[in-house]
Amino acid sequence: MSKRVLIANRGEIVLRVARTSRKLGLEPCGIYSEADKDSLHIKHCKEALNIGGHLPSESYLRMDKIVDATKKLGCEMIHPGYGFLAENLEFSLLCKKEGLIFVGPSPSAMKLSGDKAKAREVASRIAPILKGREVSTESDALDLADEIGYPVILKAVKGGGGRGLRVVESANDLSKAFSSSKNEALLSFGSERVYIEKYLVNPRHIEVQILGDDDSRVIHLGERDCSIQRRHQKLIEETPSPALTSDIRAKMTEKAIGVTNEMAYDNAGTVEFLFKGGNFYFMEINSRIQVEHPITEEVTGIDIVEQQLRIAMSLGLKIKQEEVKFRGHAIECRINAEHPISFAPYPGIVTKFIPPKDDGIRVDTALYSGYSIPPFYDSLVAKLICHDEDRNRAIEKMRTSLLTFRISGIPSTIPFHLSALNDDRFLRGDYDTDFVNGLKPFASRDGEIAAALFSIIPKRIQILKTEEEEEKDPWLMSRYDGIQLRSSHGGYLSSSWTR
Amino acid sequence: MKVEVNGNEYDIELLGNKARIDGKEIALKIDQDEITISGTSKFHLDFLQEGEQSFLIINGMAYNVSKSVSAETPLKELKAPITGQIIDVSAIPGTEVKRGELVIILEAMKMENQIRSPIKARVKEIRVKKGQSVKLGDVLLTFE
Repeated sequence: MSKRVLIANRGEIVLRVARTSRKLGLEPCGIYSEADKDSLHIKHCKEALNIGGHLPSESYLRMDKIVDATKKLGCEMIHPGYGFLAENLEFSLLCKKEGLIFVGPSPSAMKLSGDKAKAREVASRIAPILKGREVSTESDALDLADEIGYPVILKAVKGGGGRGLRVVESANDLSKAFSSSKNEALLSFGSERVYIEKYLVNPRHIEVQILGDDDSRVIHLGERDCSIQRRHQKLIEETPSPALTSDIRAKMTEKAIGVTNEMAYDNAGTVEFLFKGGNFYFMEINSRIQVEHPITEEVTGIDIVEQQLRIAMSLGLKIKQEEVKFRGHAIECRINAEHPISFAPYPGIVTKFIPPKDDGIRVDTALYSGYSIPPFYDSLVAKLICHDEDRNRAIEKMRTSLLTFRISGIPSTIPFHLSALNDDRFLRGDYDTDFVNGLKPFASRDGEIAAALFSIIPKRIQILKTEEEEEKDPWLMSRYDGIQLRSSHGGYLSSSWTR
Repeated sequence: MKVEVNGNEYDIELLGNKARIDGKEIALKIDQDEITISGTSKFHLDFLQEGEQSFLIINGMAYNVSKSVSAETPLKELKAPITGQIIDVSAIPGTEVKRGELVIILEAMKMENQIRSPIKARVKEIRVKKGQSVKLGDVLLTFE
């Protein structure tokens, strides 16, 4: 019987890991919550178990249920995907105790990367870091901030994923923020430890993909520029970064490998840097497969999930650094089920789903027409990745793909991405983490189409200004069943089926 | 009528299957979510949210759309928005109705259409009876 791997996650990443598992002759198995009974990821598993619950805390975060499912399904390995338990040291230790292979770094490497203050300290022996350290008392924090100068950023030692951050502008603010930050850290991450770092205003966020094995072989797969974010969450990533000269790139990747070695880190990981004014500073190391890993796969041709699984099975890292070739340029746009302007999440039924298809276009998703997006999980519903010979061609391909990507029934971040990919700053490659704030909506085109369409919807079933008889429009009443339509006089007319 | 789209104003006149936008005439064909303009350009309505300000996504592009506020002449009559049969009349002559209040139910194409008052006004006269067939544009009731 072939080896089985449990993919302890939901949505697109399960499909992604399942694909490579099959390629390697492994049988992918899965779990799903009560709310995910219709999720496409179940169909991509050889076998999947319902572990119940709706909220993550009742399902995908329940270590006991997951270990139990692993045993029931006869799996020897667990791939955690991203989010949920992916960077949870306790979970990786539990897997070890139960004799299961956790697809990720060793517990000692996870312990170090999960302790952001300690990771900084270790990394500082190799790479430049911003001034700062862990602080235990308010007076200690005030002294440190005085020494390094405001603004500073207060971060949870066990935090991550852009959560648990607070920018502080003055001593007064720091006094106010200190104890609440500690409380928040305790509540969110189970540890009240915090550290302070010099705050870099509007830097670029650039990370290096690394692969390491337990024989201390380490290679890098280039960088990803992830500066386009909102609320510290990434929206667009590209590789190579338009901001790096080959000289700085060489230095950054060299430092990333150095940090990885210093930490005795194995498996796939990401070394994150802040970049501003030609200088880069180590920020943290992420011990999981990243959401944005596909752009690296597209330019290098290396299947990162395959390497993760091979390293976890102690088959070693067979790729040598000089064999890694970078070809062309790749961009990823994260399509979220959100209002494209307010970014408010918007669960609901996807009435139509037609992704673009062409050479160099990759769509990682678990959506399908008729799928109802549950309100309990992340709003990321699709990743659109475009790859081409150079940056301009990749941008052009991405624009065309966005325009032809049909998602109906819910709003998505597609309009945001179209605006971004038509913004001068993006076209010049000259952007930072503040990009979203200065973004102007790109919809000057075809405004008259929207105006005409808007007018025609209510008009067809509303009070007419002229007495002349018009043909009736059967499509309209059936399509907008149940939707309130505004009349030309500001009143309402709503329709529902008669029984 | 004047419509504002993402801050730009358009003057729209609808003439059957044609629309005149700022004096320029285009042919509009609508089939499900597909909109064909003048027989060639195709557009797709991805998302529609109606409200004080409506929000449309067409071909992946977002539009905030609203009707320009203009001094409208006070409404005197409510006309049938569609050809069909009167199922129920809830408005009473001489009483006041609120804006958005249900006044008449009209069945058409197997659909029950709730006709709501577009304004706050006193109902003067009701011109239709339950069971009666009405044609598009027939006066249903008048306001004082």
